[in-house]
Amino acid sequence: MTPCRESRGFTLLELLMAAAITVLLAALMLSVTTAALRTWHRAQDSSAMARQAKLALDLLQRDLQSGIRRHDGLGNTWLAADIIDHPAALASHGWLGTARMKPDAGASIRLVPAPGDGAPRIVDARFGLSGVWLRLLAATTDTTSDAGVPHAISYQLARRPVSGPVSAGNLAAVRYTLFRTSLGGAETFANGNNLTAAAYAALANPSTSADPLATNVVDFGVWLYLRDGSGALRRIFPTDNADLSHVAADAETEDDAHRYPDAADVMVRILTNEGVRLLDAMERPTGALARPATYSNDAAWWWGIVEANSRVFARRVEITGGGA
Amino acid sequence: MGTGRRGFSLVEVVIAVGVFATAIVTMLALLPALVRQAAGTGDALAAQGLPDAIHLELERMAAGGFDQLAAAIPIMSAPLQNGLQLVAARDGVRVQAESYGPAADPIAPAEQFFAAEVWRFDRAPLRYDPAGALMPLFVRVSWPFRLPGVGAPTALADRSQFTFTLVILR
Repeated sequence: MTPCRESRGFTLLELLMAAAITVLLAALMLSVTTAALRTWHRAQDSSAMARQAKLALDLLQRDLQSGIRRHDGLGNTWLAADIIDHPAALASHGWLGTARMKPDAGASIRLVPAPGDGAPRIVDARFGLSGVWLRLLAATTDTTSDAGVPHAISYQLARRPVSGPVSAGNLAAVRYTLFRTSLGGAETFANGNNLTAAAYAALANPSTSADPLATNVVDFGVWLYLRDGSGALRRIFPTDNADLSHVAADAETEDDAHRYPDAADVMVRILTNEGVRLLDAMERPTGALARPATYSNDAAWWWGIVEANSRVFARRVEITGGGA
Repeated sequence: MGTGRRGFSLVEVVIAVGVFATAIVTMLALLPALVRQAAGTGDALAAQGLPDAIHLELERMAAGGFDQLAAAIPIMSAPLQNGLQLVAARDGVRVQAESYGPAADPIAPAEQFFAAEVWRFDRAPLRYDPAGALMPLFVRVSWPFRLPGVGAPTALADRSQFTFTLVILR
């Protein structure tokens, strides 16, 4: 090791070796970092979905538990659930339609899935184009000023821009969102106790700014049950795949189709970030993607993307409120 | 200073490699924990949504005889064990008694992801009074109870759990 040898610099071999080792280390670091980042994003995505689902299901549970009905003999509707399966009927609900969106006219109807192993499960169900439009009167604790006073509440899905007007010219991102509209105590009092009356037309079209509950919810469904004498739950809505509406009036003697439920299963289907991206690309009106040959039609394609990139959250709720 | 310009000593190289390896191993070790946590969020959410479904099922069981059900539910002891068992599917919706009272649509064993055990309280004021109109119960929900492809239930020590109290009315 003489000084003259040290100041000579590196040989080509040394340089190559050093470069090779550096490249190797960099590649190793890169792959580890990418894997960690991808996992981190997936974890974040998953916990964000769970958080959204918890928010929506908690509110639904609270509203259903405080649902109100009275046998006032006037034939009022205290709870209603409707599935609207045609885009034209959804314009008044603030939907922004497009050629390729959630399939309609029966292509998204699987209200009561065929049982595989045991009973049918609500997590396998599909609730049509609109999902379930659920309305009920409930004594919520929404605001401190009129807490406990009956409010008319509506839950529904709408596909529309996340901000601004519901029009094709709006450049904001278009998303499927679960809305919860709650009319104030004074307005509900003025409108009366019949949810299907014209006075409640305002429940149809939720406000983009005030009412969003969870975004990227592509399906929202409800199964309603009565409890029979043995305590077992009997599903009264939907009874089969053609049962698109349930109107719970107040009379004691009604048939199943008009009874107020004792329990409900509620479900939301929420897209992953990847699902949002894929669906956005598929539904974009201009420069539309060509349908992959693996899918026989657009409906199969839409559900193929959604089933592979979404998660269903469900809960069974006891409707304890109500009364005589 | 002559030694400083000579290059790195073996000890230095070993320490450098050691530091680097520790960093890498730490990052790799974090990955499974992250994945587990992400997967567990949904299950914990489903578990926390079960109380209503458990209450409905207990009321169904009570419909066949309130005092018979009371007799079938053990009184709590320390440590908590051998409670009356209910099982729930992973969807967080379907709950049924494991052996008490036949369910109309039994949940297949492979689907029994959550277990709920039920006890009566051992002392007043929550102790069950046969002359009373209600029965307070202590419930422990734990998961995973059964994993697909595994015959035996998961050991209790390996499950996540939470407990709560509910009341059923005569």
